Amino acid sequence: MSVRNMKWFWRALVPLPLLLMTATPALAASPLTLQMQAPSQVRLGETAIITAVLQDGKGAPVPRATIVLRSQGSFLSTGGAVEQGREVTNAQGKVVFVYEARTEGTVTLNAYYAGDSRFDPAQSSTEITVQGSGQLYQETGAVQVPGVRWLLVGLLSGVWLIYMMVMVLLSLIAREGSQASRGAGGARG
Amino acid sequence: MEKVTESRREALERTVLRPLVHTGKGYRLLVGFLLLVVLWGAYAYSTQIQNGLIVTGMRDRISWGFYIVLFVFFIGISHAGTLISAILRVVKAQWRTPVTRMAEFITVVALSVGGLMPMIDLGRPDRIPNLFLFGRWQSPILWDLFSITTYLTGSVIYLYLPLIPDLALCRDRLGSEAAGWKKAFYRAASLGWQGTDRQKKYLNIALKCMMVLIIPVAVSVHTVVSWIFAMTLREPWNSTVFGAYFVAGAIFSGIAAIIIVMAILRRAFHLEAHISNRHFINLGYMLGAFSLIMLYFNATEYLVTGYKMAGEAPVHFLQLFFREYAPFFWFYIIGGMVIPGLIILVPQTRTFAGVLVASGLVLIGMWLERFIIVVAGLRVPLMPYEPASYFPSWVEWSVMAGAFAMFCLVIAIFAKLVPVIAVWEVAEQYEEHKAKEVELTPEQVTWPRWGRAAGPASEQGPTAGGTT
Repeated sequence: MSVRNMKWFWRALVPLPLLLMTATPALAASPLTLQMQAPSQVRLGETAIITAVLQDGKGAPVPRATIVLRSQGSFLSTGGAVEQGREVTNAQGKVVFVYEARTEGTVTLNAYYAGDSRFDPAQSSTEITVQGSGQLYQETGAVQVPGVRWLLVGLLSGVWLIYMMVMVLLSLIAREGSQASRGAGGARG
Repeated sequence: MEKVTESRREALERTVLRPLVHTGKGYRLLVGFLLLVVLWGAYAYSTQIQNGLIVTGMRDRISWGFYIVLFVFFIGISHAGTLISAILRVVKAQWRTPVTRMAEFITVVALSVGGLMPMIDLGRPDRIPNLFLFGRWQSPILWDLFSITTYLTGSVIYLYLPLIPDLALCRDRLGSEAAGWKKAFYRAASLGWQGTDRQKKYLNIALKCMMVLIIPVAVSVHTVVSWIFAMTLREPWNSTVFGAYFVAGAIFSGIAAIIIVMAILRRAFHLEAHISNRHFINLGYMLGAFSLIMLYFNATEYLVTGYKMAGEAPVHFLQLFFREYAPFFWFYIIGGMVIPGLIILVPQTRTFAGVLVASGLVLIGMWLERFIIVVAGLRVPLMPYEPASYFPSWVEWSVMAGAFAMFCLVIAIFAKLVPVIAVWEVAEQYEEHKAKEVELTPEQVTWPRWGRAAGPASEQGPTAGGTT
């Protein structure tokens, strides 16, 4: 087989560098594992410590990677992932989030790493059961005058009571009018 | 003398009752025109209901516009009436009698129209019941609901009480001239009034209760309206004097509204013999006094805030004094307060025409003031973003036109239903004057100034009505 006869082989080699260039990052990126740890239960209004550890395929920690913690949320008629926090992994590939449980029921938390030129994206989920119920909102007014609400209710009621009294006077006027007209009718009769 | 008083009273009754049974072509045209504008406003609102608030110029950053401006404006005008009428009654101002009825009616109509505005401002008016179902005591919105309903109820009662003797007068005097439904209305609404001593006593007690009570209620209403702004975390609304400022502004614009409505009705119903120029000038004095009070409030507010220039105040001051809202702001200060005040202050301009011009300027100025408070207040950014802009859409312009038309329409219909002057009160005043004339020599008679003034007929009050 002469060199001339191998032209098809050399032609096939032309796109190879291009193929290698585009495939290199994909080949270079390695799979990661993201492991979450969280308590299974928490009381409404209390906080839970959520940890996540990012490791490469060989089990080595991945430092300086940004991990985003999300939960599912809904507001009025829309819903979607709500970002709860964003931290950068330390030398041990670990991040710590403080999650405040403000909704009762089962909450699904998702830790997500977006990936970069070195690593593929990775994610992990865990569920926390939030127990308890009650009003978490607390008024923080600087001045709270005890009983002021009832004072206002009293004032308002007083005004409406006087209105009622005026209505009674109107009914007395009407009664007096009907008596007077009956008297006039009787006198005419 | 008896004869003179009788003829004066008869002339008053004749003049005041005549419009109730005679309707001219001009009136019908006016009502037709106003009705068309109201219908156009209703159509615009129906567009908003169908498509949502996106058809307005309001957006997330400037979320209140014309509707809330109109709400504050009409609630302000409503103070015209009941408050001014009540104050004049309490201090027994003799010249008040021909003014009070119109003032009281303006209150009820303005409150009703103004009360509609927050509902129109809601994107979902079907959620209005939520205010009652889930209202929170901490919210000024709920206080507003309570105070406005209380004030509206009180104003209707306060309008109705002095109407009773006049409704009886209509029942007795109009007879066959009035339409059937009108006669039935007069008969039912007059509560069988015969003018017996007991009826007078009951009416007197009721009136005294209401005239004292309605003053704090009216003050509370506009104070609470001001708190809707002042208790919101917005730099331009951070003011402790907002309550007093709003109440003063309400009375100020209210007086101007009374003057204009009175002038129109006097002209339309030929009431010159009973509403003299002196009445306008007396109201003008009140207008002048309140222009000074308003100037004082503005000076205090802007001087103190401007001296500190804390937070977002510089942004607000720039937009008011030099930039976007400067033309409105300076018209409000100069055209709405300084010039009206000067018109009243200078004797040469203190005339019927002068007072009328001053009132027109005050009404425009006070509308602009509310626009500045609402829109410019919301324009100041809460976060580091570019200030938004607001320009009302055709829907908002149309609803505003409809609101003003409705205000005029209801007053026009009212003027055809009941006497626009409290006949019995004016007649009582004539009686009092007659009694004094018997005791005193003519020179000593303590007529109000409009009763003795020489000059044009319209300036001479009741004595110039051609009845003496």
